[in-house]
Amino acid sequence: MDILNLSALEMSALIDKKEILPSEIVCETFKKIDTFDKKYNAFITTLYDSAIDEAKKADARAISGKRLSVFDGIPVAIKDNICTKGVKTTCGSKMLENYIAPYDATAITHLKNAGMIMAGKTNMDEFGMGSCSDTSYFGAVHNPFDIIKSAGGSSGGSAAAVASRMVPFALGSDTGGSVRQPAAMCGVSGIKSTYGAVSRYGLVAYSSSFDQIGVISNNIADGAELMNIISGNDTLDSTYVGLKDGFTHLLSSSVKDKVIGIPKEYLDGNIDGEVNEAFLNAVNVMKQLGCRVEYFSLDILKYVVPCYYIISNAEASTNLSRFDGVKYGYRAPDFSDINDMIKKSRSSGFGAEVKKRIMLGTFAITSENYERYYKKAMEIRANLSSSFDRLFERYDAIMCPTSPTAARPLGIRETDNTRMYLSDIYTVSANIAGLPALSVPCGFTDEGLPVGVQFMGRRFCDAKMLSFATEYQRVTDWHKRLPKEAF
Amino acid sequence: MKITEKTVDKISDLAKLSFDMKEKDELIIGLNGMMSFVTTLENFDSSEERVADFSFNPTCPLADDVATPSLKREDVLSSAPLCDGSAFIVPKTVEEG
Repeated sequence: MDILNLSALEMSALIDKKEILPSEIVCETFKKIDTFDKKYNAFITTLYDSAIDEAKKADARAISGKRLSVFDGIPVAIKDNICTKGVKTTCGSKMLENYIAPYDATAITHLKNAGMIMAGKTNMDEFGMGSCSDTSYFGAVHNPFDIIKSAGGSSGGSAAAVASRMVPFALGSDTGGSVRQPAAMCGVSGIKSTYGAVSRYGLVAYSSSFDQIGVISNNIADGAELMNIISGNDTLDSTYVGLKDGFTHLLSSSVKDKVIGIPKEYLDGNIDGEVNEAFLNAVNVMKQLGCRVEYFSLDILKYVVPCYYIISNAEASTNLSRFDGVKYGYRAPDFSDINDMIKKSRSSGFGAEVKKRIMLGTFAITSENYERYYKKAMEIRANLSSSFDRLFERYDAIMCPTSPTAARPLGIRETDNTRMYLSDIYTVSANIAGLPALSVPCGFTDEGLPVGVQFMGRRFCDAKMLSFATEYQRVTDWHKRLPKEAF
Repeated sequence: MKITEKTVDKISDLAKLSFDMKEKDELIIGLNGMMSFVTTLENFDSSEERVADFSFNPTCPLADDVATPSLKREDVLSSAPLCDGSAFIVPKTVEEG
């Protein structure tokens, strides 16, 4: 039996039965990372020594029957924009190449309190800005299903690590689809909660009103349990409200007679034929499970991508102004005065994509452009949010593809990245409106690349949304297909 | 709206960034690509929208007024590019008159 092919809940059950020890799982994890990460570049930092130390403590708790949680002793990978005390947190950037966080993010505190074991920090698009995990200062992440293809982004390292079963799950962050889209590209499950359900304290900010820490896992049941752990109490993020009943209490609920809405605008000419086919097959599965499916039209969806890029980059331009070469991060070696030092440090410390987004964001909030772009985008945001509120009076869930295409080839550098930005079309709505959303595998292209389907739910109805995905995974096996190269 | 070299010069100064000519040329192409879809926002009729009302969580929870320990000075300074053990070191910020 290959332990790493088991789900986290299966590993946990074996620990409970004393058939395996956490240290055995952790040893297997690092054997796998040593063998395969040369190909995938999923990790920026691995934490072998501390993981072995923690695993021995978890062994003792398991033997004495005093495990701290269902995932006590289970390894987890962490996206490298989530602060981990005493461990490098680079955000995939030269700017933070040597930054060691002096504190833990709240989500990390909860993982540690649950006895979970950090295997390492995963590679990502620089500061979360990208959809292919190829803007990282530490090199691109490679897709375990085809190493010449992108793993998606920005949490591509987390998705590749889970897809190749180096770890059963990983934390990511989702600003415009950065958990769900790489999950779809790598054939794994990705969950983004309602905005405010998980503390953002210690998540290095890209766009604060969109960012949420999420989970990438082998299956939804594992992911939902992990969401329960990381969504625990917090007093340091004023936007945190938690989730009263947690994520798992409806996991085994039937979806019979529930109503699913599908936006017609998402099935137009932009979608790849094979992705469309896999999506329609997933819709048929939901019908067979007893759901009623209706198509609806929502004209405002045509504005979501520009709305997202204006607001997220405006917030990024202010959030990333903290990187000035003074308090932490890169400082240019030669300069004439403090202004020159700040400019040279930022210009050399940030990569091209980050600088481009800071420029667009700064442009959008100048006095002459604020009304035309930023205010307009905020008006669209308000309209979209209330439109979804009305839709969820009629529908129990909204279903659509996660991405219009499967994974794209790596190494295609375009000066004009418009195509990449438009590929976020199906995922950004959930961030703009603060909705919970997830992606689960629903098929493969002829080339053997995974395809994902997305479910969205009403704000703070995350558990109900998860019930659709668990039912889907109960009757399908797409999430069990493994990349051949990784075994 | 078209992004020109003049726009880039003005915005880069505000954003505390600098670009050489090659980077500037690429940036102008990239930003104009972004603007090509961003300008569609102008078509949205927003006469009935009230942005001030927009909030996901209208009841923002407040923390108790209790002082809690801050990070240790040495921990904070440990990631500074340059410090003297008790403060960040920066170039002179007040110009001589």
